[in-house]
Amino acid sequence: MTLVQILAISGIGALAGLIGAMFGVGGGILIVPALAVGLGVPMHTAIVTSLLCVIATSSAAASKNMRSGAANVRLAMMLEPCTVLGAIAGGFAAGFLPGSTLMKIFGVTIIAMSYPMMRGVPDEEMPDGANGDDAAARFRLPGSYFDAAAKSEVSYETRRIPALVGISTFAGILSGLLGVGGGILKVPAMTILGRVPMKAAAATSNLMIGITAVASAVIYYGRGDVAPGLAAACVTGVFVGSRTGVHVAGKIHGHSLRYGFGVFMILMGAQLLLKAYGYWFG
Amino acid sequence: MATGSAKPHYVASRLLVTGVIVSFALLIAGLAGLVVRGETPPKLDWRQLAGGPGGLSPSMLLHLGILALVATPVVNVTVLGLEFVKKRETLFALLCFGILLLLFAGLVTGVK
Repeated sequence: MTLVQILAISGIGALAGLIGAMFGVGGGILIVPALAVGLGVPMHTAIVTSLLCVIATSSAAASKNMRSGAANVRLAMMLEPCTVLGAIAGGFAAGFLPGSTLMKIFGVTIIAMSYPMMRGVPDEEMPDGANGDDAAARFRLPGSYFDAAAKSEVSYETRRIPALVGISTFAGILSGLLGVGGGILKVPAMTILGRVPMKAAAATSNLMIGITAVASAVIYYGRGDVAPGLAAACVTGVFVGSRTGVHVAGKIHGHSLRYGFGVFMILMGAQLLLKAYGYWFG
Repeated sequence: MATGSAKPHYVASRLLVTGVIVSFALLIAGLAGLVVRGETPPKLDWRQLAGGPGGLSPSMLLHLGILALVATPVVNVTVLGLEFVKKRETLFALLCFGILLLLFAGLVTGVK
């Protein structure tokens, strides 16, 4: 590999990491289309590269979130077994599907995901003392963390655990099948259904997606889909980009930007579909 | 209500940072080696790795970096499981070890 190639791939990774961190999504949703459509990388290789990037960004962010207490480790461990099972199923299923089929599934999925992205999730905190449901109480899933922006301790109780398990399992399947983190499904689910505050939901989802990505990454790895040079360049780029994105994210507000990203996702999905059906050059 | 779930998991979080730094360093070293030698590394063959490091070639550094990256969340779950054992929280300890079992099953079947 030449320095130019490495820098180009790292640049794509950095951009994906930057945008991903700014909008609170994993870089996978950008990396897979960029590699598959932009660079003509085989779909399975693009997916596992994305999974490795998800592991890198998740591990880096989860460390901070666990220390601050924002990540609800108990909730993550409660949801993760089914999510991992979903990821394994998705990883194996991908092995039986041709790249063009995966492109079509990814294209449709990314277009569908653009809606929750544009809509956003309610940034409301659950009031102190509000009750969770029986399952949450039985499994001791309440949490609390110090919100630095509000300069106060935020306490909450989680609700609707079975629904969260179901959605997390589906997110796991998508992760294994398409190489996305699945946070775009889990964060709204935890916030809207589980009544987990936005910051805790994002931190908990972030902790989970790295573990989920490992489950399917090893399956792709075992099949020989990993291109080490490509993966290394992309992972290092994503890592740098996501670190920058975290700082930029704090300064960015506005629904128009989120809306713009949603439109961008639709365009990428359309590109993938065009390529899958043979109407895209390259 | 604040519970143990909000308590920071210092050991696990430190291990996550360490894992990321180690894998990042290995990947950067591997990429630098590729540039110097002008090589394109072959796709991973598990049997190659099982056969030993075979000298620290750029390709081997990349594979080790990727493996360190993949191992990081696994080590994290292991440490969390041990923390739950220490706190006598059987359910969550079992969940952690269940996750590890599933990851191991995925690894074994994937490699086969």
